[in-house]
Amino acid sequence: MPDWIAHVLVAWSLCTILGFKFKQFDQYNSAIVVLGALIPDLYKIYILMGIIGIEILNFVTPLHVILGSLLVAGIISLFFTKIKKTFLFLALGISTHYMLDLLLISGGIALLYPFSSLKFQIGIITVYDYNITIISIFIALILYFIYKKVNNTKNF
Amino acid sequence: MKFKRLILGIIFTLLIFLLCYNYAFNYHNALQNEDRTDLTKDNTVITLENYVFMLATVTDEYDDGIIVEVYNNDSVNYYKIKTPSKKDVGYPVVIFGTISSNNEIVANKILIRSTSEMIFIIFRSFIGLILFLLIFLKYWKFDFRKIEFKRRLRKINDFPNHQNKKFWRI
Repeated sequence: MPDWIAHVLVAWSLCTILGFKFKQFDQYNSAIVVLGALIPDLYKIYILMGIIGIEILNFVTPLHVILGSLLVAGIISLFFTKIKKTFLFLALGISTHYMLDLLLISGGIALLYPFSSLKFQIGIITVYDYNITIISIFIALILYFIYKKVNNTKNF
Repeated sequence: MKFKRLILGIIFTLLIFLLCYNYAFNYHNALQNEDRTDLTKDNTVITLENYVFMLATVTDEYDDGIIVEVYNNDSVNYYKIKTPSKKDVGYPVVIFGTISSNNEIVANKILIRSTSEMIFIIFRSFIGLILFLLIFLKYWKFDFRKIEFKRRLRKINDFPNHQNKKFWRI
């Protein structure tokens, strides 16, 4: 499944590409988008709690739906000076997360809970697939070198 | 401004709690009231039209396939999976299949959930967490006095045209 390496690098790569055109996507705001890309997976805290014998999966699962993720983003954005702007960048990061997760074969994600129990999934990769991680690393490296070259060219 | 943030934070936290409580409560209610002999009503088995997805453990074999058990909080359900590939008893498996006309599950694909694969995923995610912290903390720091994140100052490298290093706040 898309692991956190893939989520982080896809979000960062998207921001780097957008940054060539839109100056709002500087590295500061890109870092916020990357943070947003990990928000839906906060529900995986159930794994840590499960190790110490506390079962909370049924309780934290809604963090991995759009409404739950946006509410968490709302809370996190309160810790930044520009609340609305931060929220929008976090929401972009959240959307990159779901874009990747929709590729999975895992029974579907009830994205619209509690408004709908419909599950969505495209079903291209399995939960154990790491090819997407390799591809995201490769793309991120290329973008990094292009970004460095463009920045060095601007500074001279 | 701080008061407004506090109020918003409380509201968002309450909404998240309500959302999670509603899911947990409805989930448990559905488990208690469902007819367990009906595959499509088993919350631990994902069905979409005729397609089936389940996480199960192999408990036995029969002529046409395997028998698996699916844990459902306080109870266990058993299903017959029609498949030519037999898996050893005790193996945790991921089953993708279809429901046939006589309510039998025909497996299209069976993956073995191995512990090493799960550990590998967790390891990769740990590396991802470190990567995230490197990216985020390079540009942001937390001000404990004001309880908010602030941008880190950036340093401009020396260029041939500049004699002194300068610190710029962006």
